[in-house]
Amino acid sequence: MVVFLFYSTAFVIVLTAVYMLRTPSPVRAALSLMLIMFVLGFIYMLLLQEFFAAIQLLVYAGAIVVLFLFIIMLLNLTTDGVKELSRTKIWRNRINNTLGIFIAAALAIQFIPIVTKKLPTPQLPASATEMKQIGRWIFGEYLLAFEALALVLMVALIGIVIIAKRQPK
Amino acid sequence: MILTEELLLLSTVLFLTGLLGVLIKSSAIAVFLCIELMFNAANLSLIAFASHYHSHHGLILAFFVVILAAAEAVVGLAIVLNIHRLHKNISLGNFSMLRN
Repeated sequence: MVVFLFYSTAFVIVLTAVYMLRTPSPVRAALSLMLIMFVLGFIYMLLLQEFFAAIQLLVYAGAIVVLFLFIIMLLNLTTDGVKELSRTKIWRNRINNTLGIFIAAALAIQFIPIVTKKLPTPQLPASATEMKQIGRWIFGEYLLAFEALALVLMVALIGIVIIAKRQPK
Repeated sequence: MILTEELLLLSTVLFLTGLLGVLIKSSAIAVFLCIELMFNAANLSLIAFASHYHSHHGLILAFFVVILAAAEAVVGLAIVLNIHRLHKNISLGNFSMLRN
């Protein structure tokens, strides 16, 4: 049952990702990214990682994608930003696309030995992690990294206020 | 029981889709969406390894990646907003002005 659910969700994810790449409308791309986030959250639930599934839904689907949608609708972006192109630009786009596909294919070939390698079978069956334990790890073993991330968020906050307030000449 | 190899395969496919999008898209918003897709692929593999080895390191690292992705998205979108104010267009060619 779990395996069947995983295969169907993986199929949905791959289809949605391809659709996201193909669609010219940014709103549809953002909404398909939101669908991908939801379905990934479902996969985390199947892996018994409830904490991360909740983080995925709250932060990614709830905050980041909504921010993207807000910006898309604020700027009123209806197409991909590509209007009637001149002949040279069309050719440049074609060359760009071919090069991009080649680079991605080269990286895919690099990935093949990593993905096909057999991993040792886990000794223990999958089990859920306790919330209390995750809190202990974050605020104990990883406290320094957590504080550093708080600093990063603070810098990002100050940075966006400065960027957004500066009037362009 | 979900095999970790299959999760890694899914993560690879997602990552390559995102990479292809970053390379071929011409709109800045689409590129940002594809970057988020790549972050998600990395997170999926981290979680897959964390549940394979029963180790908490992958879980905590994925949590931190989510925070960094949020900060990156906010800063990037602020830059996109400013570029749109200047050029009324967010095609990536306009971003060359960030050089000076």
